[in-house]
Amino acid sequence: MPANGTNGQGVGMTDEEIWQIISYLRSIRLKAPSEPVGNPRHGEQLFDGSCSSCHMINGKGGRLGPDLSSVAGSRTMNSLIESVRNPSAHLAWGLTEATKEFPQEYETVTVVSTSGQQITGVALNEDQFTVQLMDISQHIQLLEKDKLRSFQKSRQSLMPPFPADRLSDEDLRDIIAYLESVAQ
Amino acid sequence: MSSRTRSWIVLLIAAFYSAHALGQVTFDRLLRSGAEPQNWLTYSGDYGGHRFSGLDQVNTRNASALVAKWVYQTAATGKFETTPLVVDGILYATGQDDRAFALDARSGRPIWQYQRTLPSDIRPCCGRVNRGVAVLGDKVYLGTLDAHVVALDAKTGNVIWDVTAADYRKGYSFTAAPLALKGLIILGVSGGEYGIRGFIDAYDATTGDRKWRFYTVPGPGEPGHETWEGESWKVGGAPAWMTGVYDPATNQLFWTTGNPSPSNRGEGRAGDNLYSNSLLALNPENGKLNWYFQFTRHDEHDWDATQIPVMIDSGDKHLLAQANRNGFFYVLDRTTGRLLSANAYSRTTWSDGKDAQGRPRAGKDSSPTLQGHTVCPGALGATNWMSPSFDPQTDLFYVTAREQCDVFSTAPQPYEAGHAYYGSAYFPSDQAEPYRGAVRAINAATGQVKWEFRHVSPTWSGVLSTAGGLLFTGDAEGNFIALSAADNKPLWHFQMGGAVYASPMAYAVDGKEYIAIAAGSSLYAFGLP
Repeated sequence: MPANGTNGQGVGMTDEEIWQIISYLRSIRLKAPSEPVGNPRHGEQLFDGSCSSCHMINGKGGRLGPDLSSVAGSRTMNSLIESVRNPSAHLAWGLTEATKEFPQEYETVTVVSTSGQQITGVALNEDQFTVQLMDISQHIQLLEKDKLRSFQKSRQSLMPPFPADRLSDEDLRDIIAYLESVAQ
Repeated sequence: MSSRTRSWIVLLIAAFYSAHALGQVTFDRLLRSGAEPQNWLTYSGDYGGHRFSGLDQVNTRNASALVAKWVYQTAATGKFETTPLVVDGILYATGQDDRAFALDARSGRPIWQYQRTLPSDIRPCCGRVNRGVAVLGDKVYLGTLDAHVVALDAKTGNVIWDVTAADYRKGYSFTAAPLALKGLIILGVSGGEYGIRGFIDAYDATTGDRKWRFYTVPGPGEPGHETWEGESWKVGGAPAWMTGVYDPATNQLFWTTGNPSPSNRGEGRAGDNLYSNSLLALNPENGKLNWYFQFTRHDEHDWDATQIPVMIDSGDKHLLAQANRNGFFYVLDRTTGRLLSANAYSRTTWSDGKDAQGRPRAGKDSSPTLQGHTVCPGALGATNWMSPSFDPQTDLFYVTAREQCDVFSTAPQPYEAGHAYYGSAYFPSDQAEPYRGAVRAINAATGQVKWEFRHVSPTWSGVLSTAGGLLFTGDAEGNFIALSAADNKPLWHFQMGGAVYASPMAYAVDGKEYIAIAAGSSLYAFGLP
């Protein structure tokens, strides 16, 4: 195979074959026996109290993390749970460029400018020479790498993990139920 | 002699040849392409596969001043993989969906355009791509996604002849630039994902008559047939989807081949599966096989060996070097095909030693499994089709490396004509580092990596070295970058707005040097202000 330019196999399939796979994936998600039923109203309260400072839903909330308005419609239940319990396990995908093979991930970047100022944030995009950051104050920083004193990337998410002793299984189910309700 | 004086001499020689031989590209000109560095007459720039330009007007001292001179937009979507050719001021290239065009190489203004009308049910495995043309005499040649070979008039783009090579409905296609020899147009077929039977064809450049065909999967009674289990040879793959190189000293054509089919499932095709993943030394007069070297036996990871082989002469040694998709850098004696060395230039986990010939040998646990397990490099390889470059000034071999590991799984899949035939699935491994890329400079004599220039993510850009001491590369983020070829110092870059899936080249017109590269849906030419 020469080059598919995708993040896995799927080349050479007809549209019909691709849709068959999509249908299958949707079917197993809907049939998932572990799909929890929670209290979306309580979940909304929890979300507004601790998640919305960084995440936006339907135009309200912060900008540091991904917009979660439709996340429950495109991710599996286990993936949603993992994203809360251990957000560094799989960094979320950000900007996708039409001709680029890989999407930008929500990597954590820490830089020190020539004046000694340290800036930490999430990479909105990056190439060999520049980086575009959303810093923790949610300001966009446009930086040229060769003008920085230091540049460090980390796959440790800026989002803290929420283990069960910090967020109970019941409360997590409620938050996911809320995400489900807004994604429909 | 100062570099400036040398530049003028090179350009004066270039101007002489330009006036002397305007219009017709003869076999003699192709043989001596190094004598006219203002032109880029064949896919890799010369028959040796070097992708090295003798131009030095743009060099390490002034590269920082490079500017975009023109941009040509194909207005097509999909990967733009062409390497243009330039003949006496006219640039010939191909684009997505089997278009071809001729441009004024000074301005990028089109002279003619050819757009093939493709059937709606073609079966390209990996995009509606084409990597370029060949030129010979007054014609331009290309292979098409519906498995035709077409000759166009170089002055008008009119079709001179158009022949059918194979049935596209069964998965046969052409994506690579043909190679022009004396009176012959040679090209290899694509379609290793469809259970084709691979071949390399030679056509009469004037008439389009097929002169010979070499099947890369031997039939009954032919040597190598015994390396296939049962009837598996009939759908054995081994496509030849890149452009070969030619050694005039021994009159040998060197062509490389791709994966056996199904690509990731060895069950049902027990044996070495010759001549998949091999280098073939062919007699260009009749297509007979002189010798072969197989890089990956019985491949189960889709590690096509189609990377451009590069001829290197070192003293009385006549070598052929290839940075293979399986992660090893091989050096062969190109007279005999004997392996001289094989060294890893990228992360490899599949080999646990070497066989009696010195070939890296697959470990017991390297095969794909039903549940899947991680192997490095991944299915897209430690490198892929993007061209390497050899710089005779630094004696370094430059290659674009992709660091990635994949989880390979496998399951039975019946063959059905014209349908994808993988017997497998692969996906990024959680257990490995995130994918990344680099340009690596390899000492061809020792096989050791001298330096690397890291890319933020893996790139599909090839590399070009020049007499100006420069190495050009592109990246997935859309940058075109000039490095010092002696070390990895970046000297210049330009943001083109689209990822690079192509290999750069250089040419000169009216005494001015240009460096060209495709990115996104556009072809760019750069030069000094």
